[in-house]
Amino acid sequence: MDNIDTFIEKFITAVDFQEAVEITPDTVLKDLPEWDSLAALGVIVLSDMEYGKTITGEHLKQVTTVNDLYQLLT
Amino acid sequence: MSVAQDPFSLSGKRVLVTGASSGIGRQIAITCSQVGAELVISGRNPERLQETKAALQGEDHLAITADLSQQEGIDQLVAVADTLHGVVHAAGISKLVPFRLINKQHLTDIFDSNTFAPMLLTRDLLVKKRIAQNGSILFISALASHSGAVATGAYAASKSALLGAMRSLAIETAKQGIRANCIAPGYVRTPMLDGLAQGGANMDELIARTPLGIGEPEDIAHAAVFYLSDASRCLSRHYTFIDGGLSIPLDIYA
Ligand SMILES: NC(=O)c1ccc[n+]([C@@H]2O[C@H](COP(=O)([O-])OP(=O)(O)OC[C@H]3O[C@@H](n4cnc5c(N)ncnc54)[C@H](OP(=O)(O)O)[C@@H]3O)[C@@H](O)[C@H]2O)c1
Repeated sequence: MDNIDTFIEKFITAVDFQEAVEITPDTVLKDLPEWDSLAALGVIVLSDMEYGKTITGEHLKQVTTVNDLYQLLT
Repeated sequence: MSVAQDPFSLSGKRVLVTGASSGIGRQIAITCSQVGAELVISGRNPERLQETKAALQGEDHLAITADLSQQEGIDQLVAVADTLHGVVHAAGISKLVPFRLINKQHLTDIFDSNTFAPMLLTRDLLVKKRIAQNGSILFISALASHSGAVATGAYAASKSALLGAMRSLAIETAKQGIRANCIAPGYVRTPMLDGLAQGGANMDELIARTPLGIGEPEDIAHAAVFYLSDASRCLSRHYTFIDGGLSIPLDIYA
């Protein structure tokens, strides 16, 4: 299983940030300037392809921080 | 007008429909049976395929469970197909994946079911002479082949590929009077569309951009009847969008 640092690396690739941002486990998804529907789709696909877990947009709405997301996916 | 004179009648025709266990393929099978066709229907899920069979009008229909991404599945279907006057390739899968997350597995999955299966099934039906003279082959592509919506890289490619395949096929089969055409639906209310919504697509936005509203499976089925019937006997190598007007502002024939 990935540790949180590896997860954050994959998260950054999936979201495809144009402006470099620092992501920590406590980062709130909604506070990220580039958190939009394509970013959310990237995370849904990451979850499916890398962690074999099917999540939906509804699941994502219930998630606040990057660490919450890590807990959900791993 | 008697049934025999109705140019849209499929009576006396035997039609194979893949993807008949759900959505568009299911409705195409039902509508074809209602206008007189004898059906061979196929899908992966046996229960849902039987449900479709039970919904068909008339008797003598055949249901074959087969995974067409596998050669064994294609073989099974071809073995029992007998003479066909129409073939509708409605089986297909879709999954939204942003381009930067595409991998080989995803491409293989999408192309196996959407592109290779209909091409290889058609090939085998032709080789085994299962398609009657003046038969009609119909592919179900997608508006995505031209519009290339966000995160449909593999899906749009797999559906554009069908367009190329259909064009070449139509030339080769013309001498036997066999026609090949393609319907490209926009968004149609089916389990696939529900899956896209679950997978992160913004449905409200799509509905708002479709002036005539999201299509129903019947809308595609009626066009399929046209392509399968003698009403379209002069039409081959043809491609039509049925998209509720979604593509009106797009220059998709460019
Ligand atoms: N709905 C839309 O908005 C839309 C828009 C444009 C194009 N299309 C195209 O229209 C076609 C039908 O879509 P739909 O909306 O009706 O989807 P759907 O409800 O998900 O049905 C897809 C059908 O294809 C079958 N199928 C998929 N992969 C298969 C395989 N490897 N072997 C055999 N059968 C397979 C499924 O069988 P099981 O369910 O038994 O597994 C099911 O019967 C697809 O080609 C799709 O790409 C749909």
